[in-house]
Amino acid sequence: MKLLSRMQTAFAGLAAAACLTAAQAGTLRVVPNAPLQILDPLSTTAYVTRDHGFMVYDTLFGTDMQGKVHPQMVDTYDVDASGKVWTFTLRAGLVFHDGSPVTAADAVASLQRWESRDTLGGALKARTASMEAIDARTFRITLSAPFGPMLEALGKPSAIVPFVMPKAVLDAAGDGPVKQIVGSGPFKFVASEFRPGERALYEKFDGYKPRAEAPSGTAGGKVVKVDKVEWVFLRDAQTAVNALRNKEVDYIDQPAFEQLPSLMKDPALEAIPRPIALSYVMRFNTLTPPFDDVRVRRAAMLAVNQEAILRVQIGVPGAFHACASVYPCGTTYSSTPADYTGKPDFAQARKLLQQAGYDGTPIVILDSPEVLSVAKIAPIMSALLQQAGFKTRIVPLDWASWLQKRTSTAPASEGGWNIFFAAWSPYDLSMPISSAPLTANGRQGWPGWFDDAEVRSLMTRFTDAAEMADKQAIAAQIQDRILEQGAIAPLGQTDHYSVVRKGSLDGLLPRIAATPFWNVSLTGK
Amino acid sequence: MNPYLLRRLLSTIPVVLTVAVVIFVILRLAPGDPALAIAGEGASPAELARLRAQLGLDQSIVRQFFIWLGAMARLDFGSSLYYHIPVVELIGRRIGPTVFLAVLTLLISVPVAVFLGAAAAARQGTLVDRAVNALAVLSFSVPVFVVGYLLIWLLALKLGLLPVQGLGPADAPFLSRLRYFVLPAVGLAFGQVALLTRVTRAAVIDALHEDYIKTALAKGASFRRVLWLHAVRNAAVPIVTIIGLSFALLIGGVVVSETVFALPGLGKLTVDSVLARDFPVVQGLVMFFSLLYVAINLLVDLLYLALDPRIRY
Repeated sequence: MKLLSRMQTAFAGLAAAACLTAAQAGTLRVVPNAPLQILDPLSTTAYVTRDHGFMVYDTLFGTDMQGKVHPQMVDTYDVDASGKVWTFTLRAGLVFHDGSPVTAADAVASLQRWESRDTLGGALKARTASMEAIDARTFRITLSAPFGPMLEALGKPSAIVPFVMPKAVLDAAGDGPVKQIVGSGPFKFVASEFRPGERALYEKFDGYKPRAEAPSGTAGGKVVKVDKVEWVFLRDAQTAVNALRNKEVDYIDQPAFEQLPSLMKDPALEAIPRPIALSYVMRFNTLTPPFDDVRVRRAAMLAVNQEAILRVQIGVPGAFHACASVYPCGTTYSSTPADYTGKPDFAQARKLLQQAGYDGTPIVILDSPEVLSVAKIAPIMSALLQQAGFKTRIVPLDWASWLQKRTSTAPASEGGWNIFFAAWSPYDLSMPISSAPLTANGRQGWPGWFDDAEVRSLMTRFTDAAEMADKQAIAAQIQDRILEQGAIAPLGQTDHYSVVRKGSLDGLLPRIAATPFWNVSLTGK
Repeated sequence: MNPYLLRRLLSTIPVVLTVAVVIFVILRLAPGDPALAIAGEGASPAELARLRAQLGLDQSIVRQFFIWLGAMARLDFGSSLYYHIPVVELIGRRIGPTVFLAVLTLLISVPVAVFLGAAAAARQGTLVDRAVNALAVLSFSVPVFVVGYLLIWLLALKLGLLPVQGLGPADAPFLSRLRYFVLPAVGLAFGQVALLTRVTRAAVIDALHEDYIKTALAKGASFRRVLWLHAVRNAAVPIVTIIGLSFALLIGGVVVSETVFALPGLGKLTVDSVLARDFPVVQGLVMFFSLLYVAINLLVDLLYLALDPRIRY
């Protein structure tokens, strides 16, 4: 070690030179949670593309950290007494990165495209009679019936987000993805520097007009304090940490959970908690035996031990939380369910299996070991199901094969499946009508194809409701029905940690979904 | 044109066609739908159908095959389903780091391996020979990612001499960017040395038993001169063959190093494209690699002519 120490000293000067690689003034270097491959945020629900969207584009409304919706690009808005005619006026002076002004026609074209791509947008579209620009800054949406979550929809913070794009770019794209990445957000995308899956570069947009309010979530003033933000995609988790320690990057969005204990002990680094980063669910194939029988689904739910599952999957004490609600705990509609605890009752589970006449055929559990966020759930849940009296078979697949296999409606004995696990950004599950796991429209819905007229009726009532108290009450009814019928079993939720060098960044904000890189400045450490 | 050369060039046509058919069939038979991978977890059935139609994946496999074959005949390898840029352009963007890494790896490993192999052959059965053999076994046995992480720990994190990842700024001077290749090249060279050392040793031992070596020694030439000027030179044919194959392997198979050091090269592109079921890119890469193997084998065969005057085609 003495030799090492001497060499270290001798090379100190060289080290300084080597670190020049990281010393481009005003450039914040970020390792995002996945490689950016698709640039059109309306072409995919991939979270990294959503995050890229929040760099480049702005939204009509924003959602703050308390889940409240505030005008963002919109200056004023008005709804008539019938609740059917909404009029919005854009802030003055908004411009796109190419210098053209943001107009009401751009907003209308963007919303129309979003309505055809997003679940919540689709719900709005079903009630939209017309959408038209009144003048350069004003547009109107006329509905056939009131749409309760109008502002929540327009201020949606997670995939798929109603970003505003230039109408000309949308017209040129037709049905395909947009070919030019031109927004009116706080950062300009530097197309010439983009290397798909490797690197993306964003420059501060000098023409951006931040709101006067303090930033919170995706709402408020987005004041950019760095010249550039560079996204560097480092697939190997250890390489990312090495790059951070070597001052080649400044921020790792989501290091692997396995790395966190050692990162937290490193005095040079700081792990920043990111509350409720992922919510986990178990989904049953309700079309085929044995989970076409609600008693078997309920039996499997009684095998769930959230504490054990999260301890195995996450492993970092304090970073995971049991949550029995179908809405992530801490979000607007979460509540304690009437008939689901997330704690095991194996005796009751066995009794239900006996009543249902379960014949001991192994149930097929889809697993994708390469997806680290859920990789350990299948083995632990398989063991818990066995304790409850099930026989199980885990089928490990690569991600692309897993996605395709999950679309199979065949019985497990003919290449289908019985159970899979999914991890979601909590805001994708926070509202009943936009939460994929809560869909109850059979083969038109999320794999698992749960079909229930009562849930659909409750969803319609939720869409009609205007008052928050009514919406919360209906959301609770939807939750109870979903759990009573065993459409999904919530498995709890986890926080994430982002990692920086201690004292190297100022002004890093909490995130509601995407990490905001406005308000952040470099200290030079 | 030389009839041998012409024959070799013509023989590439059935090779390429066979590779084309096999890779197309394998990709289509493998499970996985690119539209699902692109659209993501929450995509609706309508959105997936729209995407499949847009990508041409709603056509029958037979129709897709003939469309692709027709495009190939026009040297059109299609565009990436993800990046929406031509496959040729994508390969062009990624080939630079990979070729540079392969060349640098060979520049480091070949002199070291030839020296060690020849030294071991000259002292066959001695401590030197055993030490070289042990080193070769060690370098062959230690996985490249272990070597990579050890090099990063020592040379980057402890001594702060070198960067740990990437290529550096695009506008940086050549020597500055060269620093980014040192660690991955040394890591890869560690493994390459093993193979080349053992081949060199065996080839030089064979050469040292030839009559012309005895003649040269009988004429009074020093052993060192005989070893380096006669034995090693005459052992060049198998060594060059292995160097050629190593180069081809390095171009197509440096996935681990490219991942550990975050080098955006062809190996990483291949793995990413297979996992994402980016069919046109995988097809284009496999065609490129097969053509590269054919070209390198041809080049090696032609080099034999220069290395051994007795060889005639």
